[in-house]
Amino acid sequence: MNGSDMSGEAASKSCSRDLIQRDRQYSGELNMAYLLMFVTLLHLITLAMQFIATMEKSWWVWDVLENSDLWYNCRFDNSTGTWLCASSKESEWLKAVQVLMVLSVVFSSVSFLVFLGQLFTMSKGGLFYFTGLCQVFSGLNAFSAALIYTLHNKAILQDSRELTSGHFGYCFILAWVCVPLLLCSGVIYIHLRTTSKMIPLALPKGTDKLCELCQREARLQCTECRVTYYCDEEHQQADWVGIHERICQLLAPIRTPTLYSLQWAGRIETQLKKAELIEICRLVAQSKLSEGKHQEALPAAQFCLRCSIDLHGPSTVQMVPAYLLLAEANMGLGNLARVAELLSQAEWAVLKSPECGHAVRHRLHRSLGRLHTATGNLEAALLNFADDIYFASEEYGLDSTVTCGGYFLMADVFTKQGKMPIARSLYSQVAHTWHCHLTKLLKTHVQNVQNPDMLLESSYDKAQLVEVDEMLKTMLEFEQNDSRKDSTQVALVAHCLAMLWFLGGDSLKALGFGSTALQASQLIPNHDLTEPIQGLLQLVQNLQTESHPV
Amino acid sequence: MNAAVTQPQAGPFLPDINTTKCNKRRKSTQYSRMKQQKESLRSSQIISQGEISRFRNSPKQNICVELLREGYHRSFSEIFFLLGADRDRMAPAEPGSNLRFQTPLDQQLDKLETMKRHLSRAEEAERTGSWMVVCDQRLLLGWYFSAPEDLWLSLHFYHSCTDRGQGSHSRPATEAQVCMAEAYLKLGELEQARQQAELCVKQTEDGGWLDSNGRPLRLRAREALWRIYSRLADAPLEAADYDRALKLLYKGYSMATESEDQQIEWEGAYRLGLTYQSAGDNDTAKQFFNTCMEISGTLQDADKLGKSYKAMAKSIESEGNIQDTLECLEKLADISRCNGLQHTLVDAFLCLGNIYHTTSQYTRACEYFLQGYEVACELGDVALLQKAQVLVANARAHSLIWKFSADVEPASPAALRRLIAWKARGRHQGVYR
Repeated sequence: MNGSDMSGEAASKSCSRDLIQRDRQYSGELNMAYLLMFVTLLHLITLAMQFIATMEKSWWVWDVLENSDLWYNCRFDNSTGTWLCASSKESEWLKAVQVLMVLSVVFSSVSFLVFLGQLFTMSKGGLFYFTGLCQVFSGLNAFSAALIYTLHNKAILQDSRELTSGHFGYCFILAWVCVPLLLCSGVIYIHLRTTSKMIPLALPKGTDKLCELCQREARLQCTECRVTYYCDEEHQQADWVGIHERICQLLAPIRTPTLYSLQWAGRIETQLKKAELIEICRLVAQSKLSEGKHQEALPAAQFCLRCSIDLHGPSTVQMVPAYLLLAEANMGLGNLARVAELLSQAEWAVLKSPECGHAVRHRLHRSLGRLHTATGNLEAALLNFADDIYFASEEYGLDSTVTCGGYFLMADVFTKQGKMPIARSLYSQVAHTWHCHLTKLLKTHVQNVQNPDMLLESSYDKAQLVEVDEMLKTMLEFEQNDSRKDSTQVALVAHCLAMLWFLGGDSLKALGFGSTALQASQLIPNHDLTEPIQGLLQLVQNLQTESHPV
Repeated sequence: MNAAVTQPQAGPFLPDINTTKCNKRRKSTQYSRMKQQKESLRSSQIISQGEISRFRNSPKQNICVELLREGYHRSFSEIFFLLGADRDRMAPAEPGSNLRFQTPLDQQLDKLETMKRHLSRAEEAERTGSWMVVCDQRLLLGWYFSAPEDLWLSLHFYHSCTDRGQGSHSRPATEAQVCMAEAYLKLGELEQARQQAELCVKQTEDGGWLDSNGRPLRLRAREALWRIYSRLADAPLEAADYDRALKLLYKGYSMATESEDQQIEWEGAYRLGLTYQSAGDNDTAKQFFNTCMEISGTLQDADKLGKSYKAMAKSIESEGNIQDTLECLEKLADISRCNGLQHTLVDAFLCLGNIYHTTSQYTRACEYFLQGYEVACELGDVALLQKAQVLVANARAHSLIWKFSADVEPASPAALRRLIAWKARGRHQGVYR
């Protein structure tokens, strides 16, 4: 009925799109095929020309009857009707020219043989580099030979008659013509080597290469490692920026099958390498996510997932972190359908393995909760956040900052539902926990400052700092917009923010938040926050005066 | 599909052929009936996510998740903390000990449910600021956990009731203090118990609060404090530190008198008297025993009266006044006989006999011992019986010997002749009768 009509339209549209793409693909491939044929022909022609130039007789011609080449001087004897040839006078320049021309021929033929060999075996690496370089070298040789002959013409043809009566022969011209051709073909070979375009039709049967990012048919390959393929420039660039720059060198040994890699020991090694790769990808993806670059994090997360599937199997519990990472990346971009798909697979993996730990479960439920919040299914979100908090408490304890994150997200949902008292109480819990945590950190920081021999570690990296700062700012806003001003809460949150920025190194913000906190703390009945806040402000001011001595 | 879902009745399977509408019925085919059934199945209950999780997850998780979902996160924190504490408590227990045989708290669903219910109500009340309700709910929880292995839980809830900033001077909080004092007493932590009880007494000085059983809190607090002082005095008594013991017992006695409970007043006085007796101050002891006797008179409690008399007799005896002692003991015997207190009667007789024995009135001693023996026989108490037997025999023997012990000593010929004559004639008749 209606549905099938619309799907038919859409199908036809996609069909036409595919056809256009395939056309482009084929035209691209045909271009590549033409280029290859052309360069082969060029090589053959140049080789022939070089042979002729070296072997033939007409480097210098006086008239039709007399000529000389690199090896002989020949004169047509009218009387006998034969060519009388005598070897050319030995001179060093002539020798040089001879050697150079011979060398250029040799190199050219060698390069051609190598080219043929590599074309038919299509082995990895070095393809066409050698050929191109040989061609270029042979071109340079021919160039130097012709140049020497041109410049030291007189020295070579010493004993002959005046040079004014003769002219350069066709071999000489051929030699000069060869030079640019050789250089050209050398450059083309090198371009063929460095271009990322590949010809799928030229691949052996059954080895279809797929794009790294979208898994469609690939037409480009990475020139560094030669084992990664892409469908177009866009994807190549995105992958390079996302992850490929870091792991290009590591991919080549994994993806090329050698005899060793097919044996048991080699397989173990490959697995270890893959595990390493997964770890690197995970770290890269997480760092990008924490900076907020979700689009850039996608290739890394996807690769991590694919590698994990390779290594562990599709629905095992070790896969779950990879699923969660990719889900987070997609959530940042707003692809909620994909997120739902990934999270349901992760859930299935967790269900299948009841022995997986509390940490994994808590992260899964947190992601699910955030998904449901984004889609608006608040009841399900609450259920998932409740599970998340339960597992986080089991794993990290009731007072940990991880559990706090769960409380914060839950308070958000309650705000959406309009249940303000619950949200308020949750926020106060979060504030208390973070306050204790930050006070402890501050104390250790101050102690470390006093013993300069202890290493100053920044306990929070930039990304986490930003995250926590956002969370605390949201809470502060909530309190300030609230009808009943709870000064305790405001003071607590502002104090937390001040401490956070002091530890993060931004004194200005620390001062700002500190003064807010001080104001609010004066309004609390029992002034037990005032002292710590004042202490902190003092510290910040000391730091400022230290760094900017006036 | 789900085994739990039952097939509802969609309608009679076979059409009824006897109705007038049989034509229409015959048109309803198998297909339409199947469709009907399918529709009703679809509309019937599919198991919800909550029910699935109830089967799949542990009871602890279910409770925690339900609490969090409804927004009671502080209750969740408390329950989680308590379950953790319970786990820590049971972890170091050796296998085979009593602790191992108890089921851990996180598997006792009814207790978890109760905690959840009351704690969520308390949190709700806390949010709206009604502190009375908060304290009330926690008090209820404290009561609920009255089993000996849950005393620590009960104490936790009582503490949480009394230790909060607001509402700590309300009626439920004060009641919680008294309950806490009693619980600590049961556990044996006397110092804590005393602290709580003293606080409670201070708070209930003016109040006319009644506890949940209807008893005035004031009196209950004082009774608890008296009990605590009594127990506290045990240790110094054993160490023979009479001064301290007396101080404590005096405090207890004043509490007891304030608590308007005659029973414990009697006990307080009695103990004080006993302590004075052990300390050697018999006059004061006698005063207290008099008080005891009065109280037992008002109480019409013969048992207590008997005890008071016995103690009094002991006092008088230590003073050395035999006559008064005898009187006292006779009174005791009368009372016990009248009230059927056989044990006390036996005791009285034996005591009397002892006194006569010490004063060398062996015949009378014998009589009393015999009476005691008879009562013991009636009682059927073998140990007492045997004791009485021994005493009787002892007294008899002494009575016999006494007669001729006067003759043995001087060793005069006349005395010797008498002795021989007695021996020849036999023991049953004779001069020394």
